Amino acid sequence: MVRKKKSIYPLWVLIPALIIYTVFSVVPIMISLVCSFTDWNMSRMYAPVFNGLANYAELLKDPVFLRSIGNTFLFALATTILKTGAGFLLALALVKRIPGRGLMRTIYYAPCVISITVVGVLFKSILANKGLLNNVLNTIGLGGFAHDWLGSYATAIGSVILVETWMWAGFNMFIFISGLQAIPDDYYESATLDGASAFAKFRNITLPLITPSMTVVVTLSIAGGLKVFDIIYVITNGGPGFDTQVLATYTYQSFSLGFLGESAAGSVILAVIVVIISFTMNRYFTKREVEM
Amino acid sequence: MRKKSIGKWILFLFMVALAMLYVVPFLMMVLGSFKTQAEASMFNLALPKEWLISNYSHVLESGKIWRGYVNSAIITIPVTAISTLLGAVSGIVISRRNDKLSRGIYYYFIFGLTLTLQIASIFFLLQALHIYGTFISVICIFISLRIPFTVMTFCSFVKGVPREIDEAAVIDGCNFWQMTVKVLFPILKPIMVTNIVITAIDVWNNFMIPLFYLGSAKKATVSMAIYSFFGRYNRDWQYVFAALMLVVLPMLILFIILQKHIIAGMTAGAVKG
Amino acid sequence: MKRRAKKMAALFMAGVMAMSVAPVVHADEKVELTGMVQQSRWYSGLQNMVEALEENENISIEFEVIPDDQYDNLMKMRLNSHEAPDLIAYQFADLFAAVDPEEFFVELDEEPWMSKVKAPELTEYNGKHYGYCFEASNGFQGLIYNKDVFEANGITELPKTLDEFYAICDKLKEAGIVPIAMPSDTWVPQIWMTSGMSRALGTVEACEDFADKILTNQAKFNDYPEMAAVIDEYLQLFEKGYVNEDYMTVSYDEILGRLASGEIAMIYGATEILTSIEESYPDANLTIFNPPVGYDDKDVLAYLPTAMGLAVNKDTENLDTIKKVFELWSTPEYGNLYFQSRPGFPNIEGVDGNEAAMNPDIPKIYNEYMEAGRVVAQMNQYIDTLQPLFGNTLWIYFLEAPSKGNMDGAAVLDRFQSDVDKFMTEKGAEGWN
Repeated sequence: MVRKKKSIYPLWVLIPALIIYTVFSVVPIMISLVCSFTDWNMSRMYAPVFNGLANYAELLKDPVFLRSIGNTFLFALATTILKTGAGFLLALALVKRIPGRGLMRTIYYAPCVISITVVGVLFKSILANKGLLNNVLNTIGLGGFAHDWLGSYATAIGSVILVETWMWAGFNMFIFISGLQAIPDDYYESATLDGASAFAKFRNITLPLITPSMTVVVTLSIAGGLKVFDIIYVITNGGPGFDTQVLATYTYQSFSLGFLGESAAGSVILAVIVVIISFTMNRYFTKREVEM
Repeated sequence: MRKKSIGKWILFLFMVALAMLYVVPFLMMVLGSFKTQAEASMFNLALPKEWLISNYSHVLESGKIWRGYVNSAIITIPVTAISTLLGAVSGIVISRRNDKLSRGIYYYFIFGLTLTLQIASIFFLLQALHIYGTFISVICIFISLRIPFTVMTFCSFVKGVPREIDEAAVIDGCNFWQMTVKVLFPILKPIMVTNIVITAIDVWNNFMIPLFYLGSAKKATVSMAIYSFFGRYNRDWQYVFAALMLVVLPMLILFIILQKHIIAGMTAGAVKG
Repeated sequence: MKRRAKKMAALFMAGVMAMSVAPVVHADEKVELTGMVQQSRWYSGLQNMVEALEENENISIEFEVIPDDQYDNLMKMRLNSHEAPDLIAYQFADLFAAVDPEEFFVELDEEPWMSKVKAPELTEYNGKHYGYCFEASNGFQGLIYNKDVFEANGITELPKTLDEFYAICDKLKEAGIVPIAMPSDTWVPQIWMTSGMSRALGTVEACEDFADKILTNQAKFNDYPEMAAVIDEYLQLFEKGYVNEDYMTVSYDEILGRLASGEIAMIYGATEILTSIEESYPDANLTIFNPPVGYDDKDVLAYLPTAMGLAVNKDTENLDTIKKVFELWSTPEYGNLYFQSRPGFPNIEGVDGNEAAMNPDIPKIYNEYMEAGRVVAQMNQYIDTLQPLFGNTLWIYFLEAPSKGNMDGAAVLDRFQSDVDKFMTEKGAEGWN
């Protein structure tokens, strides 16, 4: 009987998805893993020779690589906090019945609809020394704050983090709104009858029940933040100098130099970091969900 | 009660102000695309003196934008359709079976969310398979990149659908496919729309993968086509803005049409981890 | 009926196959060629030639326009895997440092137009020729300046010594004008060094000898103190406050606009850049001169023995058409189109480089130095084996050093030396094992 019941859902329907995913996502990372132990090089593309851990040793010696690890963590941490926080606050505000909320939800979501190339062009021209931001600051008499935003490390990495937040806070808002709407109204009603304050309701009802959404948002943000490539690439391209280089852009750069083995080693290190951190985070949050 | 409505108004005003800040980059692009060269290179939010629609016709004429649209569609439509379908049936099977093997497969798929693009490795793979430079290869790469997310979202959505529905369908004599298509798909519609929108946007906007693996000017997508402008229109920001608008517009429209389904899709359990 | 349709289909298929096997035979059929070109080299002159070809000859060339920073990668990957288009645009002879022409490109020695080529050495490799160059040279390097700005500030004489040069800069600075501008595009600031290093060595022989030693690991950059001196003098410009503040972010295009409008006075560039600015800003009153530097007392000019051209992929199925295209392009009817809006030095005898429209100072200075024999090529040419490293390492250091103040000339070169060692070791080059 049990057997029969299970057979309603045939396993073989997973095969097409498994094949495409394995061939085009898993096999390439395996190729990279194998090649990260070789002297694979653009000018000797078809004859890599095994060289052990030399690529890894080379990477760990490079101060730019070590710095890019630091930047990767900084970026992932800062954007996760900001994207989650901003997304949650936006959701709390726009789940209320205020006028024009439909339009406002659209506006807050819209940034992640546009192509990253477009985002790059737009923000480079906004943050340029003679760009929109400085023009506005000068017009409203705050010329003293005008700055070459992408010209120094602190403001450059800060700008990129804020642009990333601008892009994805609305996306997270949607996830949180759906989580908030799933909380039954009678929970709040009975709490109100018990005389609970607004804060108590938020703490004891909203927060615990929103944890599933939190899990998804935080996991996606952390993984996305650690993997970040394109937003750095289009806005600072790792500059000024090598200051805002992150792991993915560093890997791309050694690929540009033709050091394919080293580039592969870099992406293996990145993959390991992302797997460990996002699975740990996910477990942590999932456990909390169970406890609640 | 009165106090509450004042609070609401303050919140409303704040949200409006923030929304206005949010649209500044869009505004700059939209206004800039109608300006003259001199006006556009000032980078301000002033209205154009005269709305020049001619910027758009110029870009459309010289920029091979139309061909870009066709090529982008050739890639985006199959990727969106196939990855959504595969994600849906996989999600149903994995979350309904819920045994050790299917949970293992689930984590195998989720692992994909952590991977980055292996440019060189994929290149050699495509060559070995003799499909480098074809639309098929790019479509397959995109599908494989999207599958982890679609499987994850469908799995958790299906968890929220009562099993009794399936059982009733089976008792009515449905086989797996009949049950899936006739009974479950209508229920899964919200999460399908969510995945369609997110996938379409992601694929339409990506330019690295087509650039590296399509290998021909004739197959260039609209996101790649704008690159032939930057060189040519050095300082002609009005054309650059118009070209950017043309890239962004189709997805913006798609999103606006389908957006109300997205919340519904996520609400019904898509995000329950 | 059905049979006939089948027959027709078979005939049609045969026709299609015949066409694809021998595309050139049908003169009236459209032949499609493919090509790849860097975004910044997608010149209007080349576009004109492609358009004219399609109109008159029914031959179309679909050029794929690729962002500059991805171009080298894509070109190498596609060539190595035999997935490259028919025509590959690149800077000659830099191309041969990036890929091996004997393996990938068609040699064109037998082509009738080869006899009309003015600078055959550009496309030469081991005695054979592998490309079609539009120009014979990209001219020479120097400081491009806005004459109106100089005049308005009472600068009538060009500086002869370094001190005079600094005096001019001070004067401009006091008048609220940025004396020298540099963009964040790394290929611009490096021009100071690529021309300076060759000028410091002074003669072609010295440069060749230097490069030979550097490339075989017999000498290090810092064995030549004048190399560090070149960088130190460049860094001086920043210390003295002659350079625009936003050099870490501002774009090249933006800088050109500022030069044309007189907001800044000078940029280090080359004649090719000068003609490009003149094309975009026909009203600006610009010209070029060879600036005095502290490390070159002989007053030597650095020129650019490079030019944009096309190489033919060995895998092409349209070789006859391509040969026909080059034959057509080498006639004035087509060749002149290249120089219509941007004058230059044509590589083919009989083609008009539109010299009448060229800034008269360019040929004047060029001839003056040439006749005196005080000419060297820019350093990048001599050490072009290291070309893949420049944009990713050295040129970035040139911007990092002034912005952080953490490196002097010797430190920059030390850092670059370690990149060179690594690169050459990976490459398996002689002298590094």
